[in-house]
Amino acid sequence: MLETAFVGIDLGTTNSAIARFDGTRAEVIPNARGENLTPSVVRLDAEGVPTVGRAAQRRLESDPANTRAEFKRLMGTDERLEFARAGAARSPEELSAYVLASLLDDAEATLGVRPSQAVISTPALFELPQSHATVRAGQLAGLDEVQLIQEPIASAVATGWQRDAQGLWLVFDLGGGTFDASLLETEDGWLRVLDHDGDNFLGGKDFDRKLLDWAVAELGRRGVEVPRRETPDGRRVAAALKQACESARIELSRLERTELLVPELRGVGWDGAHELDLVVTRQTFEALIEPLVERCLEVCRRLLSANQRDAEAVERVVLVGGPTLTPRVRQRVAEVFGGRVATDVDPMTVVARGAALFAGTLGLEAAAEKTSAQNPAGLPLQLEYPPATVDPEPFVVGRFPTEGANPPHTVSLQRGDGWTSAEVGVDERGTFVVQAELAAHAASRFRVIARDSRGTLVAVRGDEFQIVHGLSVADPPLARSIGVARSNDEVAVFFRKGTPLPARRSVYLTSATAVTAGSEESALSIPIVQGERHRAHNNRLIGRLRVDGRQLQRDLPRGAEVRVGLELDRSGVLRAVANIPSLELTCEEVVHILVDSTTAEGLAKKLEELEARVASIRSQLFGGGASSLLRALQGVDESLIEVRSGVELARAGDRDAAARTQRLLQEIDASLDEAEIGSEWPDIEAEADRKISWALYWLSIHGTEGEQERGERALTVANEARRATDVVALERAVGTLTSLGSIACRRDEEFPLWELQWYEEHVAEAVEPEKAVQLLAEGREAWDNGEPERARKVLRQLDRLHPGTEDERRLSFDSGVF
Amino acid sequence: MHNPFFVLGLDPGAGRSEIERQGAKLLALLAAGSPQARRFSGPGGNEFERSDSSVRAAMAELRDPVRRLRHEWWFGRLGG
Repeated sequence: MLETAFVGIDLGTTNSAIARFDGTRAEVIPNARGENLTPSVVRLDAEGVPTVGRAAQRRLESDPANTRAEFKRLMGTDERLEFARAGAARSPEELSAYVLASLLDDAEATLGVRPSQAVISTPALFELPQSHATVRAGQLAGLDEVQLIQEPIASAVATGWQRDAQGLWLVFDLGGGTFDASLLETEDGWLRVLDHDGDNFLGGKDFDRKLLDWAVAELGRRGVEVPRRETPDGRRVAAALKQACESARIELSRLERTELLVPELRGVGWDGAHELDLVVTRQTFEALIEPLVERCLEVCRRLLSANQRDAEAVERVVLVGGPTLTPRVRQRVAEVFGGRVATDVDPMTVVARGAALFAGTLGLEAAAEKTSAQNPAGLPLQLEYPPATVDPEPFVVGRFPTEGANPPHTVSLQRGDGWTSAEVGVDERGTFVVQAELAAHAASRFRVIARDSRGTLVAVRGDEFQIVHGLSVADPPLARSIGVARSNDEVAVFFRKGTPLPARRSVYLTSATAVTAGSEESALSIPIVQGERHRAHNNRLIGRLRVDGRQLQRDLPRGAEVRVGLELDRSGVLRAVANIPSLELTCEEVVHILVDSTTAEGLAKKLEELEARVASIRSQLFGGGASSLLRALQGVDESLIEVRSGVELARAGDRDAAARTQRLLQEIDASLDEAEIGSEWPDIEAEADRKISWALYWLSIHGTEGEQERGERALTVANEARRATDVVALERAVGTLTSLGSIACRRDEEFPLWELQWYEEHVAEAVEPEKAVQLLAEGREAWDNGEPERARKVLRQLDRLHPGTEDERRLSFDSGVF
Repeated sequence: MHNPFFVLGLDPGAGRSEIERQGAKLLALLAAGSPQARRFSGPGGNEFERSDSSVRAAMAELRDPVRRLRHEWWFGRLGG
């Protein structure tokens, strides 16, 4: 019988690794060369056949037109990378799939079976499109089931496994291009993520860049001029210098001094007649990188402060990523955290091992068919149990089908080493609950022993299962709220920030547009947005569910009921379903996740848009004179200079620069959002004041004591949010006050009349104008006859016919539902 | 949202392990289609529907010490 194996993969930017967990130990599976790390590099030959890993990496410098690296940075974009000799282009997902397939080959060679299920790690700050692309890469590599785990959780799981860890953890993950800090907490073996922070522009490559700048300056001091990068010689020398600096950085982790060897300079900027003797000491290197190390520590302090903790509260720091092997990094982290650094963790493979352990906690066995190989005869049994848990005595729930067969009378559990549980009864529905006892920090295998009322053994199918005792990982929380944009520019929130995943929810909405059956152009658009803002257009559009005319047998009228369901799995992959009961139609699909572009043209267009936004904000700010926001814009100006140079490099074919520029553009976008909120702040405050006054007025007249108390509390929150210029908190508090005010206002005798007057002015915007006119007449008649309750009933029907104005519809990403 | 102690059928004295164990048990019972697991008693003995999402949300609420404290306070006032 095949041994238990759970497989985890660290799909890294520079290197990747695959690990297995056998229920007791998690270890890395070496590749065919016997190495734990496989470079994430892919080369295609003339026939389009891929080579992955070290062999491809060796050709990276000499044959860049056919060899690609660092494509993980492009995941979730629409970029396609060209391979000249094969005359083909591949997406980042396809290239990642080649790397994954190579790792799965290595696993197959070790395990004797090709894994069909695995966990893949992703950076903590990956967004939905990037996560989605990672799952797709796994599927392209032949995996039937892919689950994702955030890298810091994987690191903590691997470090905490088989330890009696308690308290607060900090995962310090310094990769090639990014730095992530994560705060986690373990209580009685239960691990949960508290918060993340990071810097998308800080990594080992910045260490290399500092060294490179130093080397160029040193060469200049010795009269050796490094040729400009725009020339072919310049590019060759720059690549060689970059490689030499990276090697020197790694060597300085164990040596006190090393020499930068750049023979490519011979005959270009150096006559070769004398030795260059470009020696760099660890002391020099450490002085160069000191500001970068401090930036990492500043991110950690910011994270701790945001969670009302200090460095003293951290019980353990886990270092992850190759650049953390730099002695100065380790030394400074140890100084700041009082030496509480886990020293027995391999920072290069910890993520893969954690991913394999997490596969164990999900019960995601590498060979999925294994369980079906159990006893084929006997009564079928459905078992529910935690595949891995820190609970030494977890509950196991089972259910026998009751149709056509009598369920057993009692059941008990028998562990592989002979321990047996107490016998428990099976109820009339065939269900039982029994408590298992696990062997400490190991995998326990159980068999269900079933007996009839006479005590005779009953054969059971699917009676064997395994539970691993160890760390339990709490459901990951959703980072930002997700909902559907309504055509009136409001958001139907499906999942609030912090909702534990997986989660699913359905909401009944109404169609705001008609769709003609058979027409490709005619479609019902359901935009899905992510963010905390009250108005749909202030949030980020992350996907769209589209029901077009070709899917319809009959026309879909305006005002039809549409049931929208969203389902988010643990990995953050979103599935959406739209059900239209009147047409008996269900459209179900993994929602089309919108992607960013990293083509030079796409970047240039985005840059142009941003420059226009900056100019517009600046002119508004000069009017208002908010100097702090002007200062914020100065930072944006500096970044825009970097973007312009990045766009030029992208035009010259530098993919790394393109990816970096794209991330920079995203960050500037976010800064501008903040600056714009700043410029709109007086309007936001004025609007809030107006709504608050309105709500307080109605609460004071018609509010109950309880509503007035809630109103007071919301007012306190609103005032705090105003002091902190926190637009999200202000909008939320004002929203609560407005709801309370509306309830109170509706109690006024005159309310139906005011509402009828409003609908009379906006009747043309109703989804069914004729019906709206009819209802208005009925409402007027009820009001004139002194029947306010009937008028209120009519108003509720009118409300369901009003999808918002044309402007609101346009702002709400052209939503077709309300 | 219902008070998580009612959703999980626990009293506010329950420790972290009890919460996780009870949550896991309810999730398993719901997955096995147990009809009893689909209902819970709220304050005053009223019956409400229980789902896997409400169990997960209740567990998440009680993992957070600050939010848990608030639910403990309300539990006492709701007559639990």
